[in-house]
Parts: sequence; C-alpha cells; structure tokens
Amino acid sequence: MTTINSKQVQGSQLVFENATFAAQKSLVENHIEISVSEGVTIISVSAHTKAHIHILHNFHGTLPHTQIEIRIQSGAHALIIETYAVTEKLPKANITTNIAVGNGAHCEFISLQHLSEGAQFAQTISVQQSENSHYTAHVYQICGSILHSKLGVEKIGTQANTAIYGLSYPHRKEQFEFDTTVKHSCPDCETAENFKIIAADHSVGIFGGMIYVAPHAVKTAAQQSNKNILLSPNARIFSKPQLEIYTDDVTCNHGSTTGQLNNDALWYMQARGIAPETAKQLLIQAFVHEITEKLPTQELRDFVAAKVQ
Amino acid sequence: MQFAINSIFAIKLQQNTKTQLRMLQIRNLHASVQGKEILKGVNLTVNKGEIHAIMGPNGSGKSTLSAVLAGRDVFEVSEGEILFNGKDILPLPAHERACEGIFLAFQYPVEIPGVSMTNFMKAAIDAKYAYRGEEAPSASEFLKKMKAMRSMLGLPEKLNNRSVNEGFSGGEKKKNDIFQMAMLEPQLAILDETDSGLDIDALRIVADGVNQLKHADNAYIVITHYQRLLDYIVPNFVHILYDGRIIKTGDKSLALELEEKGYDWLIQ
Ligand SMILES: Nc1ncnc2c1ncn2[C@@H]1O[C@H](COP(=O)(O)OP(=O)(O)O)[C@@H](O)[C@H]1O
Ligand SMILES: [Mg+2]
Repeated sequence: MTTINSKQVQGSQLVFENATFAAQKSLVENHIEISVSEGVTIISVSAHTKAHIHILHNFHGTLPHTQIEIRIQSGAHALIIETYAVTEKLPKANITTNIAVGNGAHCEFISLQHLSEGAQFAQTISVQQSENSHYTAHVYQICGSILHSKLGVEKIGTQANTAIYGLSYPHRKEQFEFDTTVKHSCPDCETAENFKIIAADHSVGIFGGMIYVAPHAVKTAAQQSNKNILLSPNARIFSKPQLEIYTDDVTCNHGSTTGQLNNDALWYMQARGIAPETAKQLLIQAFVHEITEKLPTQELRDFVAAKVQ
Repeated sequence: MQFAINSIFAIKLQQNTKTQLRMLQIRNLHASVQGKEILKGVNLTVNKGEIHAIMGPNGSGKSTLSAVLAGRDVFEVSEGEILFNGKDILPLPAHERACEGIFLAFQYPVEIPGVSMTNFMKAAIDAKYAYRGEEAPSASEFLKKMKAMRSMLGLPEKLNNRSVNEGFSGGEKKKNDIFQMAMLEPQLAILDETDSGLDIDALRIVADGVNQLKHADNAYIVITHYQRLLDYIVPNFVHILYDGRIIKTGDKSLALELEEKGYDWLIQ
C-alpha cells in the first residue's frame, strides 16, 4: 500500500500506466489522498475541500484493467477530467471506476474519449450518491474503434441530484455505445439525462437508458432525452429508452428521435453562399451545442468543438 | 464622310453598352421535379438597373423558376440555358451562384435552430469574399453593417444572437431575408412573395429597404400576387407566368389590369 501527497497547488494530475498508478509522474494536491490496495487505486478527496483532478490513462497495447475508487467526502467539490492516450496500435483497455459522492458533496466527472482509430475501450462508472449530493457527468465518445460506456448511478440518500450529458460521434466503422442505468432508491431525487449521437459513414451508435424508480422513491423527477442524427445512409443508430417505475408520485419523461440534417436548412444556407460542408458543420455544431454548453470551462468547450468536426 | 463614320461608331458604342447591361438571360428553360415538368420553356432577359415583376396563379411555377435560378438541385434542367453576366451558371452549385451575386428571398424562409444570425451571416459573408479572392471585412466592420441594416429594416436589437428565423413572426422572417440581402449586396435579387404575410407598415419598411438598395448595376425579380407591393417597388416589366411559360409581358399597367380582371382573360 502506497500513499502519496504532494504540494501541488494548481490541481492534481494523476497518471496511470497500463492500469497502474504512476506516483512519480503524478502531482497530487494535499487534500487528496491516494492509496493502492489489491490493484485498486483509491482516490479520496477530503471533506469540505475543492479538488481539480486530471486523470491521464496511458495504454501500451496489452490488456490492462484499471480499477479506481473515488471517494468524495461530505461537502467536498471535485472536478475530475479523464483522458486517455494510446502509444501502441490496437490496444484493448478497460477501466472500472466506482465513485462515492458523500453527503452534500459535488462531483463533476468528464470523460473525453479520443483514442487512436483502432482502440477498443470499455469503461464502467458506478456512482453512489448520498443525501444532498450532486453528480454531473459529461461523456464524450469521439474516436476509437469500439467505445463502450456503462454508466450507473444509484441514489442512496434523499435529494441526490444527477445530470448526465453524453455525446457520441462515430465515424468509419466505429461502434460507440452508451449503456446507462439510474436507480432512484430514495425519495425526492432528480435526474436529467441528455444524450446525442451523430453517426457518420458505416458507424453504429447505441444508446440504452434505464431509469428505475423504486416503490418508495416518491417525488422522483426524472427526465431523459436522446436525439440522434444519421449523417449517412449506411450508419445505424439504436436507441433503447427504458423506464421502470414502481410508484405513482413521480414526474418522469423521456423522448428519443433519430433523423437527418435538415435539408431545407442546408439549402437555405447554400442559397446564401455557404458551401455544403460548412453548412453541415454549422448544423452539427448547433446540434451538439446543447451538450457542450454544459461543460464547465471554455477550454473544454473549445477542445470538444475542435474534435467534433 | 465624316458624318457617316461617326454614326457607325455611335451604333457600335450602343451595342457595346447593351451587351454590358445584360445581366441575366434565360433561354427556353425546361425544368422538372420527380419526372414532372414544371417549367416548359421560359425566356427572360434582365438588364442591369431593371426591376421585373413576375405574377401568375398559384402552381404556375414561379417558386420553381426562382429555385432553379438559385440552384436548388432537386430540380432537373432538361433543356435551355441560364447566362449570368455572360457565364453559363447551370453547372454551378447553389453556393457558387450565390457568391456570383444571385440572391433568393424565400417564399418560406427556413428556421435554423442553434445557428445564430451572427454566425450564419459571418459564414455567408466570408464565403462571398473567399470566392472572389478578397479579404473579408473585419469583425467590427461586419458588426457595424449588421447594426445599420438591422435598424434600416426595423429588426430587434437582439437579432444577432437569435437562431436564424427561429421563433420569428411571419413578417420578421420576410424582413430577415431582406436584411440578408442588404448584407450580401447581390447583383440580382429574386424576391419570392416577400410581401405575403406582411402588414402594411412592414410592407412599407421592406419596400423602402429594397428601394434604398437599388442602384444602376443591380436588378430585381419580384414575384408577387399584389399590386400594393408594385406601388412601392415599381417594375419596368410585368410578366405573367402560367403553366411553366411566360404567356404575356407588359409594363406596370399590366399589373393593374390583372388586379381588375384576374387571370381568366389571359388563360383561354
Ligand atoms: N419539390 C417539389 N416536388 C414536387 N412537386 C413540386 C415541387 N416543387 C413544386 N412542385 C410543383 O410544381 C408546380 C409549381 O409550383 P411552384 O413553383 O411552387 O408554383 P408557384 O410558386 O407559382 O405557386 C406545382 O404543381 C407544385 O406542386
Ligand atoms: Mg410560390
């Protein structure tokens, strides 16, 4: 078991090399504690502190299974950005992350999946939210041959709020999937989910969204939206919204639509001199805006806007 | 002798100016959509400085003619030619025709949620200058012009950040198209029923704008059902399009005659 603490002020940078936490390459703020136990890296953010954490996963082509546990202690605020770098061709990588968001704590988790073209990547993020906690996730599937995000959230305390924003933009023969389950096990919790898929070429985009409301989870407010665009006749999108509601005292709504770029809008823009490619780009940026505008910083919004082209 | 030479020279000069004045020549234009022929041999010449009105019953092909001129690719041109400033524009895609200086004010302007007027207009202006190999105006020049044209057409201040036509009233949409025309300064503007859905005040504002933007080097084709627009925007020629052909051409008095008698006397 190792514990690392450093005097880094401008946020923490945690580097993983093939599933193993690389202490010597990392910078850790002193209110963050890191320990490794039986292959699981435990990241703990002290109560009532603020943390900015960048987690960088380096994959080198073997089959690493990274296991991480993040504990946001009560009243703490954590912003966690996860990125992935691949130094060899055709890696298959796997990350399981368990996040416990303590009483009154806030956790904002951003996953930017921009891997190499041949990369296969699967992530499982399981979140447990205590009373009065907030969890916001932004999941971007941008590049990789197969990207799979299994996102689970369970509310184990009342008034736990969840927001999940997902954007998936498969090209070529890429297959990207969101598989989400939000469990309302306690009364008085809110969930808002907004997922968008833009599928180009011969790609496949999948959204599965389960919202489960337990019999005693009264006054649940849940909302799910999944809007998709097919950019090519050979692309496919599958949308599977699922609601399982076992109590009456809830407000739940969900909607799913899949269509194409608006032809009349493209024509209108071309009639103004805008080339078809630019016109498409403007419509795509307009479509993703609802998701990207939720990112907490302009740098992140610019980063994503540049990748979504 | 001296006299004769002078007069030959004068005739030549006249011919030169005449070809220089010619902007649009449509010859024997046939166009169809989904196998159905809609334009059945349209002939029309528009010179610089002129205003042409096109009238005709619903379904006669007025919007089709506008869309074919602007380059909408769902229409197939099977015969005829369109010369713009002497250049065959039929091979050009819509956006290049716009950059050449053809503008279409839509009968039904399109809403584009999520694309702001500023971004939309900037993309259009940048495309136009890039096409000509010229440097686009600076951001401040651009915004200054946006402001001037917006106030000329009485459009709200918050226009810049609003999505293109989204949530606009019918009148605002029509004004917005004329606003875009004012920004892009086309050589040939086709106004497809821009007056429909405008109340009398909005009509006057739009017509004043259109008249202010008129000069000796540009031209308008105004499609309308109503004389009231032609009271403001006075045409040099009035054409009647019926069943895909121009069946009659006259001066502005033809529009008055139509107002009185309808189309029946023409369509025997
Ligand atoms: N995209 C289209 N597909 C099929 N038919 C069309 C299309 N556009 C126009 N038409 C047909 O062409 C004819 C002329 O229409 P249009 O040009 O809109 O007439 P106008 O503007 O004079 O009222 C109509 O019969 C209309 O139904
Ligand atoms: Mg029409």
